[in-house]
Amino acid sequence: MSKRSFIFLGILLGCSILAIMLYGLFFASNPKEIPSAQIGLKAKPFTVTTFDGKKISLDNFIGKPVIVNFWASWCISCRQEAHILEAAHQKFTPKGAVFIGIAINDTREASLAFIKRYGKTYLLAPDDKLGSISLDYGVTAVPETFFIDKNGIIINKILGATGRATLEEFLNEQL
Amino acid sequence: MVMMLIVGFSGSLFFLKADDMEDRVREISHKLRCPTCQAMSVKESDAGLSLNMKNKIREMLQEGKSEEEILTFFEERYGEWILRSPKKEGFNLFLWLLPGFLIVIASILLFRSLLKRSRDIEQKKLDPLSENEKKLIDQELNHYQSD
Amino acid sequence: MIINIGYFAILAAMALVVYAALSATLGVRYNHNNLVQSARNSLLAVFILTAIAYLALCYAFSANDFSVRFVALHSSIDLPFFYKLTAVWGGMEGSLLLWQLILSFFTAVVVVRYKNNNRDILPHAMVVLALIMAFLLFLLIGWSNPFIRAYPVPLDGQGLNPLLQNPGMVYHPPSLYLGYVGFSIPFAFAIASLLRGKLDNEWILTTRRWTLFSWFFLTVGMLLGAQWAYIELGWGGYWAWDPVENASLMPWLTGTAFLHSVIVQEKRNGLRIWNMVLIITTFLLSILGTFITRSGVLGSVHAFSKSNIGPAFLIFIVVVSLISFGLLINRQENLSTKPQTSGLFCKENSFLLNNIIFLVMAFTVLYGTIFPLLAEALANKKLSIQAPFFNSIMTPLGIVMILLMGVTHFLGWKKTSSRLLIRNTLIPFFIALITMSLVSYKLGSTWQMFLLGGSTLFAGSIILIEFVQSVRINRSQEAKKTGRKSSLFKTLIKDRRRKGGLIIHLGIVLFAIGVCGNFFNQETSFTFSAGEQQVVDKYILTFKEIKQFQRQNSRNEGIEIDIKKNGNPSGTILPVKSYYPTSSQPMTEVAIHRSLFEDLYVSLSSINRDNSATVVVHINPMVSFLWVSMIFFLIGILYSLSYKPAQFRNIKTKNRKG
Repeated sequence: MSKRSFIFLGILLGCSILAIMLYGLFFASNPKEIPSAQIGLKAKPFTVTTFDGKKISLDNFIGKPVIVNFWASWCISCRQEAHILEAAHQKFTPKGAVFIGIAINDTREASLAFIKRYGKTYLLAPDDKLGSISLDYGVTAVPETFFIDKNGIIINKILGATGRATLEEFLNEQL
Repeated sequence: MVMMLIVGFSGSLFFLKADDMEDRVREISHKLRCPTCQAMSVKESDAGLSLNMKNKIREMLQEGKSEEEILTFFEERYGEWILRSPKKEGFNLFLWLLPGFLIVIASILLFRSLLKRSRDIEQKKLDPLSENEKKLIDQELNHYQSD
Repeated sequence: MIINIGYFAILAAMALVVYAALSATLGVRYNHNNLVQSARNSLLAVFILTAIAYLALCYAFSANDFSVRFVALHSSIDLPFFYKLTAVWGGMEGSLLLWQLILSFFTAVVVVRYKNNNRDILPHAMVVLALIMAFLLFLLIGWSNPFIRAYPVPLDGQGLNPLLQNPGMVYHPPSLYLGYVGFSIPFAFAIASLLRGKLDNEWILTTRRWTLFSWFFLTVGMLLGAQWAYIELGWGGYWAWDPVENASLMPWLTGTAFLHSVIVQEKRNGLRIWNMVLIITTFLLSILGTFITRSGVLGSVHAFSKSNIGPAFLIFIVVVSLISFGLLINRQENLSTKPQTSGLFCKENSFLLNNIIFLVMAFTVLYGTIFPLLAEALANKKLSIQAPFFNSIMTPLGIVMILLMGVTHFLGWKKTSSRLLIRNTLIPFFIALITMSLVSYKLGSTWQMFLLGGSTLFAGSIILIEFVQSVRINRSQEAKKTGRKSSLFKTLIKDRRRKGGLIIHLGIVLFAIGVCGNFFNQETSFTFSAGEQQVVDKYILTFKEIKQFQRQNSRNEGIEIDIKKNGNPSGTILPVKSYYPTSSQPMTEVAIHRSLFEDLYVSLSSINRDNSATVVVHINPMVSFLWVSMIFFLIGILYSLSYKPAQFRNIKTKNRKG
């Protein structure tokens, strides 16, 4: 192999590494944030018993947009989010939206205390001991919120605390 | 040293309490990455989510599911990212094959140039050393002996 | 007040460093020795100023001065004093200051030590070092300033991450930095000789000791990091192919390749352009490594704080690459030598193969580390690339490297007779074959284990045989010269270069044995209550009692376990969960019962409501060999450092005579 080709290959290698690093700096998403693998797919069904004792099933809500939020009492971002979700619930549930909150890896007492403290009134239920629902949805951290449209398809997943604007945009569009 | 090694290894002859189910859980969970940790597998992690996943794997094994079914279950929900080792298909082949490809190319090039060189040395005839050169070499050797 | 002194010291250092670069350049251009002297003096002053700044930061930590933002972020009142001092390098800003401190110190050493020799390229080397320091100081003044104040002044700091509160914090980062920065010196001299057009081998001989020194500290730094991960992270392993670990491995691989290939230049005057490429690459990789781990492009165990320092590093890398490689391409005609002819099995070819494999390894590590970015850019998907990929490629390459390491010791430089080849490999080959067959038969095996273990035993036997032979030859030489038997001590200190290499390679063999132990790892998990016992392999673990205690800044809860090994009482261990006020999750502190051939590694999963405890128990064979290898590296490097290349000895005697 001639010297020229070595030099050429070296330059090629250098430029490729530079390009990838630039991409990583300015264009790539946060390595810690993993988008949902199920966007565009039908949301996996589940049946839970709320903290009030009511039995609800996701299938019951076909035809309405559903917001499924995964939370826990030990999660700090969930506190801030609780107010936002509660406000959105007050505003949109009369119009036909459904809000469901699933508590994962949490104890009953702690969850109830959190609910009381932050005034959550929508449908709230604990996940089972295995965390089956959170596994079904591919939850990697709390809080995570899934936007499900009227046909039961997952449209979006929000990592971290949901913003008011995002919620309103989705629900206004759906209703 | 060899004897020490053999004695050392023989300690492991007495196997740990056999627990096939747990071993299988470990085996499968070692192939999935812990979603909340940095570079650990689900097996190695103690995080809440990893414990959930291990329990789920155990439940699925008890139901009789195969390893492939379990891995597919998680991949459907979390995406390819949950696998510790990307599947050897499609775009990922760029990952798996490029280093091997490089090794092969480098070896071929190296071998060719080395063969060429060794052929050259056989064709060249080496002249015997002259008296002067022999003296010089002895002198230098004595000098370096004082190392 | 003290902090302001620190900041002004950095500003002054920046000014001086720019001055030094300028005056050295002008001094060389216009042949004014005074200017060069002035540059030299300013570089010495830069070291003093950096030291002042560093001490100022240390003082801020020890005095709990939380008006300094860096201190507030990384320290707290209840942090043990010891860790307050090591917290200086617990964040990006302080680490950069440490880097600058070490670099300015090494520069000062270079400037003083090579005052008389290397006259022609020393000024150029000074310019290169000054410019690198200018980059670091620029960052320290601007984007990465450790002296920035915090308003309002917090009452207490956020504390040091509990993971960092471990003795490893004292040794691991400084050792790594000594290694990284150390490689800047050969780099500076290489560029200097390109700049000057002085294209002989002097830069290699001058910087030989720097290379050895840096290699040692980089190796030990990585091993200490592995030891820390083993003790602190609690998953039973010591290397996870995490991006920051890979970032240190890449320059190590090219640096080790460089270490070997310069010998070819020294002895056979070959690979001259190649050595330049290698040292430039090593230097660039150490900067690239810092970039990858601090810029946030990839998640990492070490990414405690993402900083916006990425673009600056990238620009620096591009500029350095362009200048260095540009110079090299420019001067390459004058550098290249006609390759000397040689047989197929010779030392030179072995070194060549060694380099190629190291390079492929380094490329694989880089490739695997940044492939997730590639996948996202080109295939729009997120991938995880962890241990399985790296292990599958590095293991076969490692096997070949170890075989090479053994065989090269008795290869001749030009050619080796096949008789010699067979004679020296026969016994080691059979030792390896028989032992590994026995092991496989009794314990079961995979091909990786068989080959890795086999090659390690093969190389180990060769090295031991060579060492013994070397001692015997020295003995008979001494006897011939002086006519009587010489002491063992005298024979041990002869041929230090050769022995040094043998000892270091023996250290690698020990390291490889430690790695082979992984094939026999065992793991189990169970729950027991106070008073109960469990049998795990040859150990009996008895749960004695739950212990709760307070340390300076943590509340701890653990269980005391009595260990009986093979029926004999063998001490007590205490695996613990620590609760720090600054962190919501408890830290797991594992308990390790160590012996030379095996580690009993116990991690406390939880203490349950009924006061029973769930533990995970690992049996990790041969782990101690990894840590013992460091001693061999130390001894070997001391041997090698104490050797003075013949060329330098000649100069001295010539001066004496003439």
